Amino acid sequence: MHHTLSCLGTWAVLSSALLPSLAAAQAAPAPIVFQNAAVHDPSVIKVGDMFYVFGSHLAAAKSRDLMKWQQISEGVSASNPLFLNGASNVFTELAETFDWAQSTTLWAADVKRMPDGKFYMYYNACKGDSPRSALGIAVSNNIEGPYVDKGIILKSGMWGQPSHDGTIYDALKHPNAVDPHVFSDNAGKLWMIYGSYSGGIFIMAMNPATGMPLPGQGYGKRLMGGNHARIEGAYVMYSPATSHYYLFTSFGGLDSTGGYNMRVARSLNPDGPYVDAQGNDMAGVRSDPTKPLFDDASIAPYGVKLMGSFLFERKLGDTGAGIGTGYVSPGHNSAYVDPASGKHFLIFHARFPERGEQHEIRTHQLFMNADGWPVVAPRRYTGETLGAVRREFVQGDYMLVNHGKDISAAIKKSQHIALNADGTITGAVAGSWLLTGSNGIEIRLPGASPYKGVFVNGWDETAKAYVMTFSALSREGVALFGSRLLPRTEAQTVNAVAAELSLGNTSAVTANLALPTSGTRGATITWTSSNPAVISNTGVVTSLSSGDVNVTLTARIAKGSTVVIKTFVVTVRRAGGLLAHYTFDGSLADAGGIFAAGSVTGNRIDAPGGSIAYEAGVKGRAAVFNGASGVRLPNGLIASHNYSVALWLKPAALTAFSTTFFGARTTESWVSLLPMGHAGVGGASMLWSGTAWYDAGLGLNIPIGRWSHVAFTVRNGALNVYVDGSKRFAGTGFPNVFTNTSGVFALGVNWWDAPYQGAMDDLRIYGSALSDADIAALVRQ
Amino acid sequence: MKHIIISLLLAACCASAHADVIGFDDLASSDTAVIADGYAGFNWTGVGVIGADAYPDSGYASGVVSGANVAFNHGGATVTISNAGGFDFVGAFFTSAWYEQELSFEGSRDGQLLYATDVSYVIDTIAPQWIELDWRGIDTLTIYNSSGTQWAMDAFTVPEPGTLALLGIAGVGWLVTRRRRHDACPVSRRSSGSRP
Repeated sequence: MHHTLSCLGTWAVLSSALLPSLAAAQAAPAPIVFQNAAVHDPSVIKVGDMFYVFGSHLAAAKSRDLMKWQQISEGVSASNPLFLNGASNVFTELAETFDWAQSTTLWAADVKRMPDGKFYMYYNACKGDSPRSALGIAVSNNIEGPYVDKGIILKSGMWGQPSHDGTIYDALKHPNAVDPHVFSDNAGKLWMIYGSYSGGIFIMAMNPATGMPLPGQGYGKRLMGGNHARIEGAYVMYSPATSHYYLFTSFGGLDSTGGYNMRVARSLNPDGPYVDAQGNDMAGVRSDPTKPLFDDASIAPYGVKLMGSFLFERKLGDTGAGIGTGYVSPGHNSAYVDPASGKHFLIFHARFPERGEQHEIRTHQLFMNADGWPVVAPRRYTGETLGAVRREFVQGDYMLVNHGKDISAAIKKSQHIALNADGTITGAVAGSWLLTGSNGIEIRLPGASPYKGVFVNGWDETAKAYVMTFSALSREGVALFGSRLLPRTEAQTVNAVAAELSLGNTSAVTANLALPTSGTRGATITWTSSNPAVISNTGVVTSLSSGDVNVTLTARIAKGSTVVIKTFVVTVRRAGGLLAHYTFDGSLADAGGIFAAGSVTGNRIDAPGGSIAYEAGVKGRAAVFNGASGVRLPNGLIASHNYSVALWLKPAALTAFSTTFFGARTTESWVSLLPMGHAGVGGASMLWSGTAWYDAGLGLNIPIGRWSHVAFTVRNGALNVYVDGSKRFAGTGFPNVFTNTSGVFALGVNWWDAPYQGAMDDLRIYGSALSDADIAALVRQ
Repeated sequence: MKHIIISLLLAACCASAHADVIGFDDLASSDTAVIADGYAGFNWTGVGVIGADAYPDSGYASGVVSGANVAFNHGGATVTISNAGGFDFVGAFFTSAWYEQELSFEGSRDGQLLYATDVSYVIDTIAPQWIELDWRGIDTLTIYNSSGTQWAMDAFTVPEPGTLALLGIAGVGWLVTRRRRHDACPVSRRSSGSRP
């Protein structure tokens, strides 16, 4: 299980698919392998053949191919190797910084190799709820440390005191001394750009002999932002392809609901002025001080927005599995231009749809469009090289993402379009397209200037296939991403949708059904119910108190003139009743006879083997879990945000994370009832949900060797958890996990952790949230 | 048995008409070697030969139509097949070696483009697909692919002039056999983009 509760975990994803690349063998290309690491705000430096990224919280990682990352360090602790040096550690080295910032962590670091051959880490710490910060330098002979403090070079947040420019510190106009990037310009002159929110993004001239700011600059020159505009993560890249300096920043808030997005402006000079594609001087971009704090509306129209939250949504009938591929709040990037290949890389952190605040490093290529603006490859870097494309390989169906210009938590989902052979665009948008030169694309849509960009092959992580993509920018600073779908006929399309279309377990429905209305490539699905009073044509379920009702739903799947029909028989259960009842009286059968019996598993939810014994229980007999086995229950036991689960437990041992009742929509969205939880709840029994993390600690451990009745009820996110009829937790905002009838359920096992060891009896699942009195009655029964 | 009979008929028909259905089975399998110029009267640029057993789970294995070998595009790149004296290209069976991708083709003579496909042909790793172009009088065939990965080719069919009709009859029989053998539906699609 994902034992890291925050964003600092390492997550490895291995793909069995294969990589076409110059390095590929002649007959069998090397497999694509990603190994992910978590470094928030990754700032890149290449040493020899190794890329390193350094970020916030003293996290760092390295990679030779920008695909497989090895975590070097994470978390500001006395044992962090970047500062561990005999008796010294980060707290002793940077004590003055922590003291000034009133913090115990560090923000986005940047490391640069100076002419003396040593590595200079520009570290910084911030109080967080105010711009009280310190920014300093630590030096090492080795890129991986240990770094030795050279001292603080900038401070901010000195309320009521003179600041570096001699005036009283004013957070509306003075910078927050964090998020540095130190770079050499094309003439060899050294600069540091920095800042976050507060007074904006500033640049200072630096002394390459010392790494320190040249004297007499105060805070330096402001380049953009101010009045607490949510702009941060500045990074400058010089491109020899265009002879421009590109200033990247991230607008918005960094968390999954903050609308973080990457923007760029450019200049012929390292210290500006930087302008966007419409020629707006970014120095004029700042929030309106008369408006409430963090006024995004004043800054959203400016800068070229390269990427925000998006999802290439996998639709019914598409190749692969899952929801698709995309990012949430991608940002705080760095960039690297490879002098040998000329490739430009964008390296950033991203969160992910349905994965909460977990984040990982991502690398995408950048390409310069016809107007000299960087466009981002829509797909993650896998070694691809920009090359000539053939028209027959670029025309056809695409998933289109329009990143817009807003600062919004909304995830921009892809829409279906077709780049037709006659140059028209049809589907979700109407317009025209051109293949320009060997790989250029120009898209014309109503109400916008032409979008200019490139076609490039990319690796589709969902389809596990190499696909054509395009990325293009308009003069208004709006980015389009396209990802092509391999050609299919109408018949192939509707048949693929029909083959995948499922309503899950329809034998005991208690809540509204999510009836899909669309499939891949614009295929439509319309529904007809045989009994609209019980299930409407849109899936609204009205249970009857008189008993179960069978309803036939008919799906009409259409693409163009091709239609297929698929029908489903749905049993709507009596309102509010007991859905399933596993008594374990010598078998794993549902006593109500509605759901199928459970099946024995090995030590994981999908592992073969295992065995379940039975012994005397609270009522009749009970199931005995031996610590190496589990029970898989039927899919779709729960399919709503209103339900109750109750059971008796007698643990034989308490091991952290071992589950008793486990239910999941996906491996990223699950509910787990643990006799022993994680350290965040002091190891107490808990109801846990991930990976939109929710900890319902019970403040006690159910005892070993004695029966306890444990129950939880969920009513539209309102959660109550009971032990022996006593309410031990009450909260709101519990994740809505069981949104369809395909949820996976198990007892004693999940995909990750040691199985439960102990006995279990009388599992009851209800289609509504029981009352306190109902739960108490179950205990007394 | 029917497959064997029809294959024998095809072979006999081709032999009597001096047509060539090149199966690459008389060459040694190699991951790295390319086919030497002059093999079967053609120059092969970027084309290798590999045995079906070299990668059992790949399209090389599923793409064998006859014998034990298939041709493939080295490094997943574009290939050209040429004969200075000119030839007619009927078609060939293609299978993607590693995952689904697309092919397109050009036929030229004396450096002048005579034919080009303006649509792509989707090939998968499961079963060979017969792609029939019937391009006459070219001296160079260029095969492009969309993904930059390898494909397998077998039964490269280049009859002598005057045998196309006869070969077409036999080819239909072969297609029937293939359809039954693979329980799939090979699609024969004429290029719609021929240029005078």
